[in-house]
Amino acid sequence: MSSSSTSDDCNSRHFSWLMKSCFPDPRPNPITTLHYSPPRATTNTKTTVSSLPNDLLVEILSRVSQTSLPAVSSVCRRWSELIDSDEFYKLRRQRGLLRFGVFVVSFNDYGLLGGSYEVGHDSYWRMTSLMGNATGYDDGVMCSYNGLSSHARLAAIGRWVYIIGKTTMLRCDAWTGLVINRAKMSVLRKKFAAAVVNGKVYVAGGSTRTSAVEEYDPKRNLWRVVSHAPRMRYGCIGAAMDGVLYVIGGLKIGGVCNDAPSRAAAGSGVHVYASSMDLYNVEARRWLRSRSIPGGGCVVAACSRVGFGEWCRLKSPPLPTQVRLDGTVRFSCVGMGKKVVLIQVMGCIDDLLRRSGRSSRGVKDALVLVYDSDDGEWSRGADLPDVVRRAACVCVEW
Amino acid sequence: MSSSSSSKMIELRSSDGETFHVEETVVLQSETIKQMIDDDCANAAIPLPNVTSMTLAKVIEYIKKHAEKPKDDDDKKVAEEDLKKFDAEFVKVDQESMLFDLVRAANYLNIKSLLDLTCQAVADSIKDLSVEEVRKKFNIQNDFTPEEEAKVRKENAWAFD
Repeated sequence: MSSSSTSDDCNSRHFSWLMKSCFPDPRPNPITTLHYSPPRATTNTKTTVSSLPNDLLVEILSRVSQTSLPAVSSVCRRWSELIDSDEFYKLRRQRGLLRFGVFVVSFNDYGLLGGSYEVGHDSYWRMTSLMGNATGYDDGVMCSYNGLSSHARLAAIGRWVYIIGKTTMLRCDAWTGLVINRAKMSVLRKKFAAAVVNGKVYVAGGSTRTSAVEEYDPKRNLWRVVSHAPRMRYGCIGAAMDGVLYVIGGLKIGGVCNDAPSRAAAGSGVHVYASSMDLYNVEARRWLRSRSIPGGGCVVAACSRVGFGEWCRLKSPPLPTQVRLDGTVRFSCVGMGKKVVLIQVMGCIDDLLRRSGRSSRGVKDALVLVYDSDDGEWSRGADLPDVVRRAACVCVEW
Repeated sequence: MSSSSSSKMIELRSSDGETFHVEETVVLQSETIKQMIDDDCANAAIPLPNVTSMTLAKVIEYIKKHAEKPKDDDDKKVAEEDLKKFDAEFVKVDQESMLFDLVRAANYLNIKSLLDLTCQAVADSIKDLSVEEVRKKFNIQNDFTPEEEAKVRKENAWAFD
């Protein structure tokens, strides 16, 4: 090529690439559809943070330290929207800035109590009153939690924890503990299954009247019925993995509906659903073949974790010896990355020990046990304080 | 042709018409320019309509420093320390607008390490500031309605760290 050739005869591809790198991506991306006017390429005005395109601004915001995020998210609308964007979470996850924590909510006479615990990072639970302390909040922010009971389920999407009660739903900001009201489910449910699939909340079971499965879209703050479950379960547990909603265990309630298998109807009583689960493929809007849970028994807690494929037997959790578990002690479990956290949400180990003929050993707080699926071992986490009884638990990535 | 010796000089032209001569090995840190050189587009001055001469000079200072190769392993350690110091000093700019110009230029020229460095510098500069302080620092208008403001006002009851 002669040295006199100019850049004009270059392939325009590179220039379109150049353009792309300095102007917002024209594709319909939530990041670029926010209020933003493209910067004039060469002006004499000084560059400010506001003149940066969204992709660069989110590049900056995603690097802000955890402690500064609450303040940064309330600077202005654009920042707040960028921080709620998927891109923000994606970048933060890439940089290893997101952490997993267990979030618990408990209801007592004083109101709503929240707690968080980061396994391997915290040595104690951080507790805060989510609503009891109303001072400082404007009236508009105060929200009602009538209709929430100790049977509320939790579902977490990013830093937002949805506290789903029979007739009320609240959303708690895990960064700040701030709680606001959100739309409630259209079906009255109690002891239902709840799980998050692809950024939406799904609930199933817990109603005697309908087998409807509802979906909650957090962006539109809207619930809608998306399907009907093959079985009406009560006291079931929800989990999600790879786009599939698992409705697990529970008791059979109401009439037999849809395609309930004949053997289920064969008079085996209320235990009929205890060791089975229904699988709903959310994307395909289709129910998969129901599966039984190996080993039978009654499912008391369930969760999903990364890399779950086939059933495998975990080592038994290290509970104090000679404790006979009965109905007075209950556990809840949450999957957290490659760990499973088992949290005692009811009962008292001391009482159990006494009933088993031993003197009290001072285990008043609730046990927290952590299973690491990498080394297959259980370890003990920080005890959940005594004040948090009947807690609902969820894993939050924030 | 794209075959190059280390001494080959590339000419860059800033938005305000100033030209800079930089060694090809140095300028290759910019993925954008590398692509153009690979495709034989860099025989004349490369126009950079989005980068002012002031910003471009700063960018060249950065890539020149980062192109320095340590002679041996002992030297490598020293050089790494030296580079860290250089980076820390580099983002201490007199005018904040320069930092944003550098963010834009790093993105435009596709120099990942510079983009990382400058974005992190901006992010660090708002560490531990209050909402009002951030608004004042960047001259950002509070565009929330009073109701929204109340909703997003963070009481930070947790104090997570």
